Amino acid sequence: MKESSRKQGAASPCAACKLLRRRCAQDCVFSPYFPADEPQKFANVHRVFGASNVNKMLQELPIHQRGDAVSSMVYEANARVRDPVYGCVGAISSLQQQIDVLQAQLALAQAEVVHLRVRQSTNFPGHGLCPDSPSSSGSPSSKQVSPQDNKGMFSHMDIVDEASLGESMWSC
Amino acid sequence: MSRERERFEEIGKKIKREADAWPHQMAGIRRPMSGPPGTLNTITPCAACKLLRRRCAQECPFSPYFSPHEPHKFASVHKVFGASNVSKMLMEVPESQRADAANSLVYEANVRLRDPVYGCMGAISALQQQVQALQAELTAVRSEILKYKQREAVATLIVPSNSQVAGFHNSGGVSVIAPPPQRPTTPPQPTTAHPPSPSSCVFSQPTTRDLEYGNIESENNYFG
Repeated sequence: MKESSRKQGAASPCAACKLLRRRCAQDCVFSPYFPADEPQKFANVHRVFGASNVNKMLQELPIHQRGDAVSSMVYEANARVRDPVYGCVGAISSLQQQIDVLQAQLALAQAEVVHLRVRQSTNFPGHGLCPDSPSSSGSPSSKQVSPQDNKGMFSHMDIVDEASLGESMWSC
Repeated sequence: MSRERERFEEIGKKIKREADAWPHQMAGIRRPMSGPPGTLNTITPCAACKLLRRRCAQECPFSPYFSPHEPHKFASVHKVFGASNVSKMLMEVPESQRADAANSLVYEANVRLRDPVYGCMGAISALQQQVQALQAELTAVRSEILKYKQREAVATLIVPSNSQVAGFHNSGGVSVIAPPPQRPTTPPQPTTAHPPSPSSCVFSQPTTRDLEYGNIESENNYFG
C-alpha cells in the first residue's frame, strides 16, 4: 500500500484502470484519453472493441494521432451500442442514399439549364430584322445597322459566356 | 482440381488428427460430447474456428455468418473487435438480424484497418462533406434556372412591340437601360482533412431495411 501510493503519487486511476480494477501506471496508454470523470466513454469502447484491442491499436499509432483515434473509436462504439445491428454502417448507408438523390436532382437541374440556354439562344434572332436565319446567332448581330442594338446583342452574348464559365467552374 | 484435392487431403488429415486426439481430450476435459464422434469430425470448421484452431460445434455462434471460404472476413473482425466481443455482440441481437450485424461489423473492421486513426468516422465525415457540396451546387444551378426564366419573362413582354420599327428601337432602349443582373459566383467549399468531433456529428437512426454489404463496399467513395 505504501509503495503503491508512493509510486502513483496523488493521481487517481483513469477510467480504464478503474473499470478493469488495475493499477494505473505512469505510462498508462489510456490515461491521457479516458479521464476518471468519463467512465461511460471507456465502458462503451471496452464493450465494442475490447481493452486489449484498443491498447494494441493505440500502441501502433504515433502519439500525435492517438487523440483522434480515440475520438473516432468512441464515436463508433457509441453508434454500435445505440444500433447493435448496423452501427456506423447505418449512417454511412443513409448518407450514400442522400448523395444518390442529390446527384439525380443535380443532373435534372443541369439538363434544364442546358435546355433553357438553348431555347434563349434560339429566341435571340427573333429580336433581329432577319427571322429567316434562326440557326445562326451571329448573323443577326452582324447585319444590325443600329449600334445601340448591336451593343445589346453583344451584352447578351457576354452573359451567356459568363454563365458557361461559371458552369465549368462548378463542375470541377 | 488440384485445390479440391488439397482440400480433401486437408480434411482427411483433420479427421485423422481429431481421431488421434479423441482419447486425450476425453481424459482431459471429461465432458459429454453431443452426438456420435463421427458427426462432429466430418463438419468443416467455419472461418472463425479455423483461425482460432478450435472445434466447430453445432451451436457455434460464428458458423452461419463466417464461411470457411471467406477467411479474411473473420480475420479483420477478430483483429479489430476480438472474437469474444463479436460473439457477444452477435448474441445481443435477434437471430433474424445477426447476418446484417455480422456484415456491418465486417465493414466497420475493414474501414478501421484501412484508416486506423479515423475509421468509419472519417468515411462519414467525407460523405457529409460530399452531401454539403452537392447541396450547394444544386442551389446554384436552381438559382441559374430562375434567372433564365426571369429573362424569358422579360423577353416575352418585349415581343409584341417588335412588329414596328419604332417599337423595335424602343425595345433596344429597354435592354440597354435595364441590363439583366449578373449571376454571383460562389467559391467551392474547402475540404478540411480533420473530421469534426464526435459531439458535433448528428447520428440519425436509419429505418429498418435490408443492408447489403457488397453494395456499400462498392459504392463507398471514401477509398476513391
